[in-house]
Amino acid sequence: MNILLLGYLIVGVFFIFSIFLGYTLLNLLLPHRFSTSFDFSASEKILLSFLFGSATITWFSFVFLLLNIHLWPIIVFGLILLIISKIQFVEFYTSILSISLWKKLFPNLSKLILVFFTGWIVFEVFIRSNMISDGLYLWGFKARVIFEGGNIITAYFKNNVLVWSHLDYPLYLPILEGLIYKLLGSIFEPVVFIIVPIFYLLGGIFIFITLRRFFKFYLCYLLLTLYFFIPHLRNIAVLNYADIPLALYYNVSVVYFFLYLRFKKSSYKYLSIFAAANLFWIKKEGFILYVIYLLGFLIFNHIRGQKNYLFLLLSAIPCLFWYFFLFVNQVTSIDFVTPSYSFLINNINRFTEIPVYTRRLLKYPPHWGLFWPVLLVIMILRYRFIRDKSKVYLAYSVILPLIIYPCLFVFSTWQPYYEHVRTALDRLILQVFPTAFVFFAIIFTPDKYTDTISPKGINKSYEK
Amino acid sequence: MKKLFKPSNLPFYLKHIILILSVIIIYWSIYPWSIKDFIKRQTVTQEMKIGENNNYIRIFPKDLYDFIQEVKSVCNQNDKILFLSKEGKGENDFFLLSYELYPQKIFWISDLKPGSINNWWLQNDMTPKSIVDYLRENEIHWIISYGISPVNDSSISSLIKISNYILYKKI
Repeated sequence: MNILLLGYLIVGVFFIFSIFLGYTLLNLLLPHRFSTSFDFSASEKILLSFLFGSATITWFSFVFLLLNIHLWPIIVFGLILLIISKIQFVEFYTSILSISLWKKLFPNLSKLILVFFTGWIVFEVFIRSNMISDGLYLWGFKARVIFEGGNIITAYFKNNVLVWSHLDYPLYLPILEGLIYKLLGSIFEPVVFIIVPIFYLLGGIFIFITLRRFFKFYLCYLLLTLYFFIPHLRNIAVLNYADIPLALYYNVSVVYFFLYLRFKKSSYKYLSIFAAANLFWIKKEGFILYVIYLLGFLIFNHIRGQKNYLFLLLSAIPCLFWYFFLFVNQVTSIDFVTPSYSFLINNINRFTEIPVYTRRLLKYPPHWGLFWPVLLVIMILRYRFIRDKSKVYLAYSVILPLIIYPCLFVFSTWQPYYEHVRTALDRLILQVFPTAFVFFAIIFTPDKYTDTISPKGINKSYEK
Repeated sequence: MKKLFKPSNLPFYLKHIILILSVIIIYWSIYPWSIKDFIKRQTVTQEMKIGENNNYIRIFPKDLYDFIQEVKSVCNQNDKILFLSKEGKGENDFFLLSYELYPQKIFWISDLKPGSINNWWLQNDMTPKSIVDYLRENEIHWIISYGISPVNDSSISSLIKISNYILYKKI
């Protein structure tokens, strides 16, 4: 059998397994039964199941790697979990994958758009992608290390020769790719290079699902197409960077908290916390987004019950574990220094220069088109419209990372440091972009759409 | 006629196709830079050649791909390799060699000035004497030089040369 087809088959099976696992876990963890909940559409359930399933698999795989156990137990663990949770596959099939619901999942034009962009992305991965990039020799290298096996601490984290591969980068994407290599039995990059483009498509689907709660479907299609066409998003999607998965997780955590503030449904809040708990595990900058999320949660959440804080504390355990692990193994960042007063004083001039670079990047048409200037203009023109708590929260989640990210480069170790800004800042901005896009859509459209909504996301008056 | 052009009277799929086409047309007319960018990337991709070995595909530069295959055929897994280059040239080649030859350990010495507080290369002034001194002091089995003239020393002998890459064996 052709190894490429076999590889894609394995990726498909792996994704389906992740969906089943995530579905089971969400059923167990959420206070209200996830499978029968009307707060989520069918495609939303599949997407969320995949996100939580894949994150759980990578976490357990990491623990198994630390214990120097072969990665196969994770499959056994998953199967046991499926059996004990008493979730019947028939129920899953009838509630999500039945033919009648298939039409509801991808109605009419969204099918066409998805097929078009899937084809485009597959084409770009093979024809356009430049495999000689950080995607290969940083993220792909980690996947290779996981595939080669051995004790990961001595072979990788304590190997001084490999400092160039950024030992402090989280392992979500490498473990996903490494597991697929394991199942495939060999290293074959074109197979795993399809994972990030899948996240790109999932990001688009999530945007569509979110906007569908507020707008009639013609407007959603229009916005979805615009979202898919943003050039920088496509450029990065074919390069195997972890920015696009992080953007999706951040978008999920922010959007569900926004929906929670809007509709007061507790399941949205818990899903938002689950998604936020994985942010630091996907990319290093996710930690900053996680802190921003936690602050936002504490500021905007009107219910200050013990249960909320307990959930937040529980969600921080994996984060604490990962940073404790890095501390014990003395893994430090090679791109940034530990912030210190003397370093700050010596490089104080950067504060005046970085805003200039940032402005140039945001206005760079081959990457962003006119999105950021238009968003700024819309925000100024419609500032009165950002009046309720939920919209202020969206604005907070977009603006605060855009302020903090450029400031990080004050502590850059690169010489000259603006090379670092030029290489990395655009991708950091990309992590906030989907959330900014949702914010843009919400404030751009007339009040009558966003102010008369129903929790189920289907507003009959605007359906026709 | 007037009725036909009312959006609600158009056939269902036609309505959607018009919507998509209009978005695409608006997009390409507003952002012609994207087309330029796309063409530029195509040109870059065409410079790469695809090397094949059974079921492996690598979109590497052809000469580097051939060189890596040669290195693989002579080096053992536990061998230590030294990568030499001047002025920081061949950084990507170092990464690709490290990626391809893992788990072999590859050290990089270069006369590149400290670019960061934590460097991944070992700084050396790259004079023939300092390179030979380094080789004598450290346990190195192979040397890969990128774009620099070989070191004249009795303890090393040239083995493979492809394009700018030369592999030496330390005797």
